[in-house]
Amino acid sequence: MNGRKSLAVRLALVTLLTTGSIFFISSGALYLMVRDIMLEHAEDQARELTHATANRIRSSLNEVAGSAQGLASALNSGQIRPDGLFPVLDNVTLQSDAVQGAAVTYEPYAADPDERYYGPFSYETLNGIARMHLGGDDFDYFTRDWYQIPALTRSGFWTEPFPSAADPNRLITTYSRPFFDPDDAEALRGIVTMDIELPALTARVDEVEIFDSGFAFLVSPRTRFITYPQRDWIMRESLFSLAETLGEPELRELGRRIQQTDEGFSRVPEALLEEPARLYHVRLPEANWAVGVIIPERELFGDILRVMHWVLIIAAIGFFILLGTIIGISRGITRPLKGLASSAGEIARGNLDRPLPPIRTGDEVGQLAHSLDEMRLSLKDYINDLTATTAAKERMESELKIARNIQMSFLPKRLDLSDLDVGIDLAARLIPAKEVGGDLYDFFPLREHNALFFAVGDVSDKGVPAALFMAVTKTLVKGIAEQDPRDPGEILTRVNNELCLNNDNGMFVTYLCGVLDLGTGEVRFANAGHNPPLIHRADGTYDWLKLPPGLVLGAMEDMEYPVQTVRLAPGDALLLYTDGVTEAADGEQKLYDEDRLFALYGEIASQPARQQVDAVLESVERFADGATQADDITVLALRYCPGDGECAR
Amino acid sequence: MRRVVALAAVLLLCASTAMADTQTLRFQPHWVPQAQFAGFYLAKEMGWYQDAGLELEILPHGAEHPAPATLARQEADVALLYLTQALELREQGVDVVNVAQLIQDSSLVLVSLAESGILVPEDLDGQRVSRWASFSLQPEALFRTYGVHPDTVDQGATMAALRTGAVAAATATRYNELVELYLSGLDPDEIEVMPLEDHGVGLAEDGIYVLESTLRERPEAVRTFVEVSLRGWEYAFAHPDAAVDAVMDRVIQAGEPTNRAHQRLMLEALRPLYLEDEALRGPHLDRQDYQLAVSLMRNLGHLEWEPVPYEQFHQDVTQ
Repeated sequence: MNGRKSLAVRLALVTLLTTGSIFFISSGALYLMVRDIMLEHAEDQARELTHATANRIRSSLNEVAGSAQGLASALNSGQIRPDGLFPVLDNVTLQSDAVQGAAVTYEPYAADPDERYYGPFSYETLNGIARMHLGGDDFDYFTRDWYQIPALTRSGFWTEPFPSAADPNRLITTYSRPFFDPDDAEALRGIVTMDIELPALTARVDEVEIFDSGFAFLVSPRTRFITYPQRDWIMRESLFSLAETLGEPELRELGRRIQQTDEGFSRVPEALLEEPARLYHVRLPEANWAVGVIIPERELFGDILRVMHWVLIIAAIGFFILLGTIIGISRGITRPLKGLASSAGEIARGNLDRPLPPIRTGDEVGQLAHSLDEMRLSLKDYINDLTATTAAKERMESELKIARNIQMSFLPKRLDLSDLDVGIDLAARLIPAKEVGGDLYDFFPLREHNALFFAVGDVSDKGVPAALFMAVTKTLVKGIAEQDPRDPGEILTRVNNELCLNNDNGMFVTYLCGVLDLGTGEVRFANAGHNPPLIHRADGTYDWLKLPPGLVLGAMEDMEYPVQTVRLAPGDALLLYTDGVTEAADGEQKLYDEDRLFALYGEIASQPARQQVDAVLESVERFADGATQADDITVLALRYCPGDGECAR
Repeated sequence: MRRVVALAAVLLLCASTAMADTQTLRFQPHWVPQAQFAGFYLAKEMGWYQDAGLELEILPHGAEHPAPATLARQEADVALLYLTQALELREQGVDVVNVAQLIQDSSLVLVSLAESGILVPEDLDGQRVSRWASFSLQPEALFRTYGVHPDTVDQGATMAALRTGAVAAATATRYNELVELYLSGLDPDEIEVMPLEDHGVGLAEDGIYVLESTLRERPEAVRTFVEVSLRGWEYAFAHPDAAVDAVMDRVIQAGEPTNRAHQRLMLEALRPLYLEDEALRGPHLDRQDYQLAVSLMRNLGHLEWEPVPYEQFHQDVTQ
């Protein structure tokens, strides 16, 4: 993967994370909601059960308290004498299922002036009712809670469970109630106590079952366990002592909550059962005891946990399937993409022949592949076309180059007048705008007539057609001129007629020619629509040479071209040119124009012809300053200097 | 070798006296089995008394076995007593000798529920206050000092009367009843504690007592008992878990309805009474402590006889 995650992995990760988050949030919320509902149900159930248990205990406690109250009332009214108590106590113990022992204990010397202690006590045994007297030097009952507290508070009191005086192995709890002097309701005479044995009470609590492992228990006002499944805690440990021993302050909080609230549903710290649990407690207002029902959360939430367990398993399987599917789909997408990427790379490197991997899917990737393949084919065609075109162009260019060479070879290189022994200094140059141009110049000696023919022309077009037209014109002119050079007008008339034949393209040529009589210096000019030449006299004056007008060659048949004769004195010079000079443009489309040429000629006319030509071309080039040359440029300079060897050279 | 010699000497001693069991020592703690006696239990469990040639018998103890009476009747050779109990025995003509003072200060406090607003001794006036009949001296001295007249009642073995509001204040030891209150759900800020020590009526408490005759006849046994017991206490505070284990064994044997948390807290409450800078504060009884007790008791009419001189009353057998 080169350190970067592939599309498939990224897609799978993002999808899984998103769906996973959604799943966990929604199932977490579901779990919590269902949990709350189950908790409420459990609370309802626990409340019901706890109240039922509490009520059963309360009915026993109330029965006992009722018996004690009845006896206390009887004692208050003086119906029973201290020495007649035993039968009464026996009877109470026998009559009531709840009461397992009954005693009446008197204040010091209250029953008998000689006895500090007087406490008849009847209690149940396996063999029937037994009797004993409470009190003695080693049993100072006045400081016992069951005596002292009701004596001081003047109201009924339920004791914490304690071992019975009759049998230390019998755990009892006692309801005690004060009674008073029949004659003085303020004077305490003693305490009535009724005992209930713990097993009789606790059996009812121990019977309670809720779910599989939920159970009930009973705690004293100090939250000491009166019943509890863990037997060695009974009468020994309290929630407060366990809070210390187990190092769990929350247990202490729970204990205080039980002491201070009538009922409630609380979380039990894990330390107590070594697992989380819930407790419903109800306080028994009579004895300040509390009944609690504990349900382990394991059971409470067992069902939902089981459901969540399966949800998680199914989700896990689902995630694996999802993962596989995503990887499959993304592979399905990325595999062709990989192929495409590789093919695109090949295409980028220029290999257009490798076909794209076959993709038959109709999806976006398929469309992409199709487009890419079309692109490849188009590129291939294009490049093929381009190659062909380039080849054609190159061939054409090469042919044009040849054509140019040919054209240039048409133009006379040097004037050879060596055999005529006359001073003529002539130079000409043609710079075509394209490979081949439509301008021409020409000069050749006419030896039979001791004359020199010179001309400059400009075909209406440029390029190959112009070059061909020029070649035809030149050939015609030369052919005709060599036959009879005396009248250049006649030459042009004949050339014009020839050119007009089959001139379907409507091409034409401006043409200026002159025949210089080498002996006399007389030049006969004929002009077919060409720019006027410049003439420079040996005395230094120079001007445009006005020539009679004539129509361009090749435009219309049977045209007449008047001839104008100009006599050149030795040292006179002529400059012929095409409009490529005067209409040369600079970068801002400003033209070189005649005035500039005129001015330039004044400076250069006395220089040798070759230098004149170069000067004009250089001036034009400088003026154009890099702008594209639009037209062919032709310059021909001629100086007449008979007998002047200097000039002829 | 030394042990052989010692054994021979002991056998010789046995043969020479009429009593066949000079090695046996009967010890009477003065309350129910609890951490108040942890040092003794632990030393016995470790076999240290036996190693020192002493067969220590810890007598059954609790409310039904009052230590002063047992000692007076010579049913015990050694007893733990409060200083005031010992002086009362002297008053009755029983010649007890303090051979080691274990608790130098008073752990007695008056405790009330914070809501009843009893903050200073003056607040006790007219209130119902419970105190143990056998330890009424110090509370009475307090009431007299401050000129207050509470309605005093005898106190039982539990703090239920205080918790139910039957009494407004009760006496308590720091190590037992205060712990009991805490373990019955009352947080420290819900009770108000008035230490007797702060009001000049605190007296030294647990001490080891023997009859003068016993000390005269069996000084070695007494000395051994004291020394081993002190070691037991040192060890108990250094190893509280082991100490509480030993206590709980006794507690369960005796069927006492207490629990480990209570005993552990009791041991911790005893620690500052026994130790100072990790060292035992005993076994010396301070002369001033003795004189304070004597004068308090004489002032309250608990002592009529001329008290025995300090030097005769306290004999540090470890010296």
